[in-house]
Amino acid sequence: MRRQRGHHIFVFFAAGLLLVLTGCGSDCKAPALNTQKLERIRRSLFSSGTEARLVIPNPIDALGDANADIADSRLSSVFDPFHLDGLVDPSRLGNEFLKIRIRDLNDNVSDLARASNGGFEFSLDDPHYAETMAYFGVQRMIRYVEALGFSVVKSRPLYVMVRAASEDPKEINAIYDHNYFNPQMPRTMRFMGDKTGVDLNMPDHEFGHLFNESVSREVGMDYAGDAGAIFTEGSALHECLADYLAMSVAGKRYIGRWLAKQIGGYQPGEPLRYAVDRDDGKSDFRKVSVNDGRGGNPERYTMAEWCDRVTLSIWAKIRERHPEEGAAISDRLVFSAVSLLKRDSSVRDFYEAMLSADEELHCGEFSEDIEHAFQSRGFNADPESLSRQLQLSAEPVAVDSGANSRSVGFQITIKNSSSQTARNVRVAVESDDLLLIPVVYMQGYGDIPGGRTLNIGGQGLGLDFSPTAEIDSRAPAGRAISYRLRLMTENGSDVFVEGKVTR
Amino acid sequence: MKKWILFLAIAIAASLWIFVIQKKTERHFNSSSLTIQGNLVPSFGQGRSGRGIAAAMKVSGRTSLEVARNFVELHRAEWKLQSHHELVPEVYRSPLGSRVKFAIVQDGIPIIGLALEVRMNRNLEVVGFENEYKPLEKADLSSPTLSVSEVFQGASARLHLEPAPGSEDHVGKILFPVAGAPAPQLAYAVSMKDPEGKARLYQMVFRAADGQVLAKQQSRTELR
Repeated sequence: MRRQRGHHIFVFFAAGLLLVLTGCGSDCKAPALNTQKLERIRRSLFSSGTEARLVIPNPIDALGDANADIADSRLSSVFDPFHLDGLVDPSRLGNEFLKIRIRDLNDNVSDLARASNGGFEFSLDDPHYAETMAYFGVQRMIRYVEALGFSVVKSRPLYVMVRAASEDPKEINAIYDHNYFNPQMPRTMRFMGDKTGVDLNMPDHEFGHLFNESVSREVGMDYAGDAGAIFTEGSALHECLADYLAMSVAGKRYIGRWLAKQIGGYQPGEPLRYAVDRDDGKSDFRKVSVNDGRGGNPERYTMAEWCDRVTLSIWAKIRERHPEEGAAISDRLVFSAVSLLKRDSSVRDFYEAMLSADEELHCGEFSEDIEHAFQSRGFNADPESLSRQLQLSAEPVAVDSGANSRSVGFQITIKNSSSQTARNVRVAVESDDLLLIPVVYMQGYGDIPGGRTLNIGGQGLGLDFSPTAEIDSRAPAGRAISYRLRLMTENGSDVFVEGKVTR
Repeated sequence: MKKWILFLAIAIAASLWIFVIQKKTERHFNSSSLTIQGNLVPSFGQGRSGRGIAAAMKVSGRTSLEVARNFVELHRAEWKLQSHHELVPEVYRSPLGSRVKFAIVQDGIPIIGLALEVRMNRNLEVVGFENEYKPLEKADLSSPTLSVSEVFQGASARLHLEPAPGSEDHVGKILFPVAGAPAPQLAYAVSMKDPEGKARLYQMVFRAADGQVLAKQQSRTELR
């Protein structure tokens, strides 16, 4: 009996030790999500605050009619009431961080929207309607991401101009400026076009750009794109992540139906981007990343659409497994990954960050879903190394003309003599000479298949695809100034070309 | 015999646990952007360096800001932080923990590109840092400069850009490091636009002494 008892004690001790050992590894428990609170925020079910009446998200989606427009008489039946939270003055749209304007920063406050009869209610063709939509959208997003556990950088205010001034009165666009360099400038969002601001997709997506910068600690996840590069994987990520947030909060797998209608050239009801797989080449990374060497450089919005499909498929998988809180789990996961990104991030960086974030938050519960989402859409995080180094040749050329010409670009030839595809090819201009100042310091060219040659600045891509630098005005005439071009690829070693330019 | 089998099972489980934790740590630091990069970023001297920390480090402090400040102080001599540089913090929170980024400021003027960043986990333990700091000499703020309007005139003539509406009211003074120069250069950051183009804006950085372009950034647009 005594022997049996001793045996039992030993077994319980061993089992307990085992539990403690395996349990010690579980520091990967994410904070609990308040699903009810998140859902209330997502649906803007605030119980107090001045009321606004809005058609959510836009006439097309509210009526389910691809031809709907702002004058549609049926819209009167789809205005919904919402309470606007966070207003400093209940009769004015704005708070300490978020400022709504119509044309520019210096709008006369008396021209801006004012609540009447206790609410903000305007017809869709009134700019005050767009102001109301902008405040509603951005404020809701801020509350949502903060409830997920993220802070939003508020070191400077955010101004949203809903019918921003433009030289071209017909211009339709939405523009975000983070204004990294100038501490005197706020962050700005500008919507161009009389109907652009009617759509909730616009403030939702544009807020995504600010949020990307905020979550990534303003490290410059697309610093080269900010500096003028025409294509970078970072720019595609920036668009994709802004799309993702807007689509997830809306519960939709497309974005920009309303904007597409305003731009024209789209089929009725067709959005700017689909986040579901279609037979359009945009579900295969190899197709959206390839440079065909004949002037067809990859395009940021196309790669963003591929990335939308990847991220929303992960979102869908997580929601399958966790019907109640899956969307929030996915949102938290995606932007926790963004918090790990570095300057000039790539798709591979984002893929690895997703796996890391999942490991930290969920002990890798979704790792297979993440890997499958990327790999089934043609992405290989570990491509075969190039059997031969890429070859690079370059000649400096003047970008501007005249006696004061100081901007330098390069005619560049990149040759891939391997049989493998060179992944994520970029060229950067560098100098140890303080008289040469890189400006558009790097450009991206996507993937260059084996056996292919890419020309920039001559035949092939134009000179605007070249990195550029400025010769310092202090450089004496005739002084030879050193430059270095660095050619980079993810599956090969860097290649350098050095030379001199003379002012 | 059964006891030995159980001992073996526990030993295997413990080894597996240690292996899993190691892998998690490797992946965490591999994607945590804490790697030394080359000089890809113009004008920032010798590029960035960062480091992961082998084990989470307890540093005194009750908030992420306090912990980060104390961590930086521990490294003040090693990083050669200069007395003429002030560290201005910004805290970034995420479900993975928090990061405190210190912008470097001289006499109230921010120095672009010299930030220090400390990363903490949810337990406020330091798990990594990014160090872009360079012990630059104090910039001379008294040397002659062009007026903002002179800078605009030069930019218009050479770059075919004009001041964006209202930009004269929002001219930023910054200090801009240039590769090879011992001290940062005083510069103006202004918003400009293409007079014949669309609404995209350019944030230009001009050296205050002579209007030389030091950097450029452009708007993020949804459509070309």
